[in-house]
Amino acid sequence: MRDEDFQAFYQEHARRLWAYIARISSNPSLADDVVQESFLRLWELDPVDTMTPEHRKNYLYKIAANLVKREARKRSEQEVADLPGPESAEQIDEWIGIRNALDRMKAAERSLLWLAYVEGFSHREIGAIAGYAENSVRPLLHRAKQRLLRFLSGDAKSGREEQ
Amino acid sequence: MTPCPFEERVLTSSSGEILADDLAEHLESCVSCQEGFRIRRLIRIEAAALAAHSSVPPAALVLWRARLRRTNQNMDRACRPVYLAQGLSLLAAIVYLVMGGEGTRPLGAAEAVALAAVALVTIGILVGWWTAKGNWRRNVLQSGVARGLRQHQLLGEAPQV
Repeated sequence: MRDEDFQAFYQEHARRLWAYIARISSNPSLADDVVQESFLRLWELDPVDTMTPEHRKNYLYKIAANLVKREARKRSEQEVADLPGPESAEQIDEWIGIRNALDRMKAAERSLLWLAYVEGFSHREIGAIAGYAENSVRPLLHRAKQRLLRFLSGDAKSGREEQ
Repeated sequence: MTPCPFEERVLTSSSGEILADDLAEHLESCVSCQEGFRIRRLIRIEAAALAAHSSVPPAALVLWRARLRRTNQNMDRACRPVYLAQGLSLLAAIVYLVMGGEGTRPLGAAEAVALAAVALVTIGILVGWWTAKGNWRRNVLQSGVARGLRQHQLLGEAPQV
């Protein structure tokens, strides 16, 4: 991979990947390490030169998701720190709602929602990244969405009962 | 409520909040897709907040680390025959002494045990050195330097999420 290609790819995806990892793991310190390691591993891949940008991005997220699974088991929950919030005061109320709702969901559900709604991956791509069969993604995503909506509407009881 | 079969298409085909006409029409009448749109907007607020505060190091640093790691891996690979030869020669010397080769007298039991102990200690030192070298490289080069540089913050513009 040429230096310029790597740098452009990194500039485009590093912060987004950091946000994804920080959100699914609730651990900014883990996100710091996993982002770098993911890019290093991608750079070391022999076929990276022949990949399309979309394929590279899929691979990057797959590497990161695997690293998070592995590293999260090793690290203690004491490392979990507060995640930063928005700078715009107009979005504070909405942000508090979504932050609280996401905090109460399982990491796997957060990951599914993030990959679908922030990164815009297709169900097939989400399946490959998160390790699900393609056909399972739609119902899982739907269930995660319904739970998130319940949490957003303040129906905490039903959310807890499902867990 | 069941998942809408159009939702994936609606979400992946839209750029921002702008949709193709047929999908926009579907969206008006589909509660599931409307909910999907609402969630997307909300989660993107969170995504933008996180991305804006992320502490990723500059690309050049990551590239430098990638090169360094590859160099170290190549060096390890290149040195492997040397370490193997060292180990084999040590083993051969021990066998030669224990068996009583030409120009040496056969070793007694006590001498053989002492020699074996020395050999084991030597091998232990070599293995310890090898392990410590790996740990040092991992801790200092891959983590310590990068973390130190990260603390000095080299943030650019946050991307639009």
